[in-house]
Amino acid sequence: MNKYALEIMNLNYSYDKNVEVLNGVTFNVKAGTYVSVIGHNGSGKSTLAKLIAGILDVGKGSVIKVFGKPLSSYDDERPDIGIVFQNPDNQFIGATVRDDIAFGLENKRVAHAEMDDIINEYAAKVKMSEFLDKEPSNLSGGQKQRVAIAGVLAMKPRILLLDEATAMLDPRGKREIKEIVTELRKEVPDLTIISITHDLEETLHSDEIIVMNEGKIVLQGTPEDIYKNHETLTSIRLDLPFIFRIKLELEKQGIKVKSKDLESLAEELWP
Amino acid sequence: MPADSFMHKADPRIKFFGLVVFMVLIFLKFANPAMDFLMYGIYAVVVFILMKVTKLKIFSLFKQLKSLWFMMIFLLIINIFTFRNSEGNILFMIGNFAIKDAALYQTLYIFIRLVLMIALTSVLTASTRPLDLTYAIEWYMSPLKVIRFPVHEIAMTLSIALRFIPTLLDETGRIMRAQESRGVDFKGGKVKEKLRGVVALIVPLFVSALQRSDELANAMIARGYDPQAKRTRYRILRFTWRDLIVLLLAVSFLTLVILLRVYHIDLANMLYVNIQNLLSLWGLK
Amino acid sequence: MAIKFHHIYFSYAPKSPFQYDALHDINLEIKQNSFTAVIGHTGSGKSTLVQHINALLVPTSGAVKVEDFLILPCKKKKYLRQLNRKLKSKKVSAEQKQRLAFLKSIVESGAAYKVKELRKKVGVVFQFPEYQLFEETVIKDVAFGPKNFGVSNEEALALAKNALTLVGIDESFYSRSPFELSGGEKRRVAIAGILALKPEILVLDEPTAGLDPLSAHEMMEVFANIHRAGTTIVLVTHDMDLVLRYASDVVVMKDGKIVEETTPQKLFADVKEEYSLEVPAFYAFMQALVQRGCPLDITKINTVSDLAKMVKNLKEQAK
Repeated sequence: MNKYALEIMNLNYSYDKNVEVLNGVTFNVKAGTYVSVIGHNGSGKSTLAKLIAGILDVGKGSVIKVFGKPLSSYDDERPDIGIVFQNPDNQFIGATVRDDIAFGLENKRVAHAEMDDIINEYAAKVKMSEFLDKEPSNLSGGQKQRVAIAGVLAMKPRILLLDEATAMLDPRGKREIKEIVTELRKEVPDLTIISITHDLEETLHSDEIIVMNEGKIVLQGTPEDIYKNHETLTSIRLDLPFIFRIKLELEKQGIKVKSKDLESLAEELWP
Repeated sequence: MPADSFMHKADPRIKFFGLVVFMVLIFLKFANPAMDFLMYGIYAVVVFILMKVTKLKIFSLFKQLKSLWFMMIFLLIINIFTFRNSEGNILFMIGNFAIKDAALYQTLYIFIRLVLMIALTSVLTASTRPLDLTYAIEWYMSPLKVIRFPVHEIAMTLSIALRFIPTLLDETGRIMRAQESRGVDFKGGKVKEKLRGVVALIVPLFVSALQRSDELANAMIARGYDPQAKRTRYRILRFTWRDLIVLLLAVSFLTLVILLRVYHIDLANMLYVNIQNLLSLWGLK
Repeated sequence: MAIKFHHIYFSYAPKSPFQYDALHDINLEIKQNSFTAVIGHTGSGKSTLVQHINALLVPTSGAVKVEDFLILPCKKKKYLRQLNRKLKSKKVSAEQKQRLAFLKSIVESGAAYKVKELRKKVGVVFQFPEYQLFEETVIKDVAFGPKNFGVSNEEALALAKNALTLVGIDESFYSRSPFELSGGEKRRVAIAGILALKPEILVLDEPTAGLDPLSAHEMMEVFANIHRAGTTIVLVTHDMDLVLRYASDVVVMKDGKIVEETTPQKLFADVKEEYSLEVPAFYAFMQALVQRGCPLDITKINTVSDLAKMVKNLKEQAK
């Protein structure tokens, strides 16, 4: 089994001749890990997502390898990568939840007889079993995104790419998606998850965070490593998740704390 | 639409077939006006039964007809002029102007046909999801695959369009409200204003629709969609005993009516004669 | 110019099988020059409520008063007739009659709104407003609003330029097509389109939705400045950060009713679970500390550093 789910080497991209949106981006994602990619708007993270997803073509000199196999063009089948996009409506194809999950199965030529079981299984994974016959106009944004995740997972990809999947959701929807991703980590440990996001709280559960700025990778490491660099982050227009922000402010006041999460921190501060 | 009638469970392809057949029958002309009206009466009874089977309220049909009566009066007047010199019996005279029965009959024919057609289509639309209708249309078009006609693509386009109708309606509402907040008056206002308002509605809708289809296409491709490749189907239309019954009924009705037409059988007259005989037999005449 | 809601009920598609009752007996005053946040779970009626302020929606029953303008379910005379009829009816309870008499006095004291005048005074920015852009150039789009209110071309352009400067869009953008701009730039142009009307009341429905945190705060600073210059602001939002930082008053809605009218500080001192609000980590943490017995005065905390300082002080006092 390949160690790396994704290998990206020297990725360059520009929309027009002048503006280079991505400049020499190189990184690897180990199979079975959960990686977050953050960066201010315009840092190139959305372009990166589109290149991995195959919506944009990779230029010469750049290589993207998925489980060792290089991707060349947009028309290739990308069965190993399932993508959930930002807009809940613009990826909901079926007339009902059922039909939407079935869409991917139809494309994969799954036998008719097996479809219902698969649909039920994945609807249950995203807690949408009671909504199978509902139409998208009767669903919230969070619910539609859950259906998108189910539809994508039902095709059994090895990589799940979330391209700002919570950006258009209300706080409840965001929470629902975060919970689903956490559960997926437990249920499908082999699944590699790559999440492009600007919700920093989401990144706390990732194994690794990649920080981008102006088309380049600036930092790469665990949440602990990354969020130590508050000055660098501020200089590239990024904030810190609350837990790191409060620890930083407490340190400024001379209070050093050891806790890694908010519950223990409250205990530590006020025993 | 949501209900659980026999019609609701029937296959959309058969319903479609039945509708087309019935539409043809409605336009047939028979031996004489009396016969025509008799047949229309029979059709009405059949349609009534269909509506009842589909659990439709007859009342709602009348509501739809309210808007028609004005047109009918207008049509009657036109027909009076059109037929004043044709053959037929004179109903009554206004001065030198002859009002022939043909005028009345023609108007009534059109009216009755309209009512029947409206009733029939409402039976279809009430008992069939629009999406199922697209499956039916796809099935009927499938022989065209032989000449490389893009049947699947059209069906997919239709079903996606249907899926997005509520979404697009919502979006239209949203854009209208936004522009109204900027001073556009969609209801009142002079023509020039209304025109600007329409532009302020159409352009954003269009742009949004284009962006939407772009994103949707990407999402479809990301999920492995290839219109040229083979795909399996989740929703499969299957004929059941219900459909056989509907088919048999439709075909027998069709045959009967065609026979009556082809052989110029004047049922009306026969009935009339027989009823006369019966009445005299019972000493009522 | 205060906004007053009197016994407002609103139903979508009334008397049809699709009827949805969105607002129940809303009585509320939004004070002039306030920065009022309207919060509540999705579906609580926030957007429905604020759309009454510029008469995009009219109440199914009850009266809204914006300055001296009345927004009623139907024409003033007809509504008065309805009220009178009910007041004389024996089927109506005494309590109801009191309410109706009150409504009647309100209605008699005001004049029916005129759409154009009202919409000039009340500017509404909807969620994801970039979808309203349609003109050939940025400057034309922003000038569209003022022109609809009968302003001359020159004046409209001046207003547009002003508004664009407020939101941080400079001259180089003026003759570009709005469709080639980035998402954030489009948002700013759309908002400028409403600011160009110079409304006295500005209603904002989730203006920062989808923006990254820094852009969101830049946007809110623009609104804070407009507020300081004298505009009344009504902000519908889910973002509690914004409420704490910018709002002077908070209205909490739940299931179509108002459950609390308060200030941000008082609200966050004790956020009730039944409001179904998604409380961000900051407040949940402060509440956790309070629950452990820490005497935090949440009303004095605006930023994380405030919190850290207060914790330090309290710990030292506790020694």
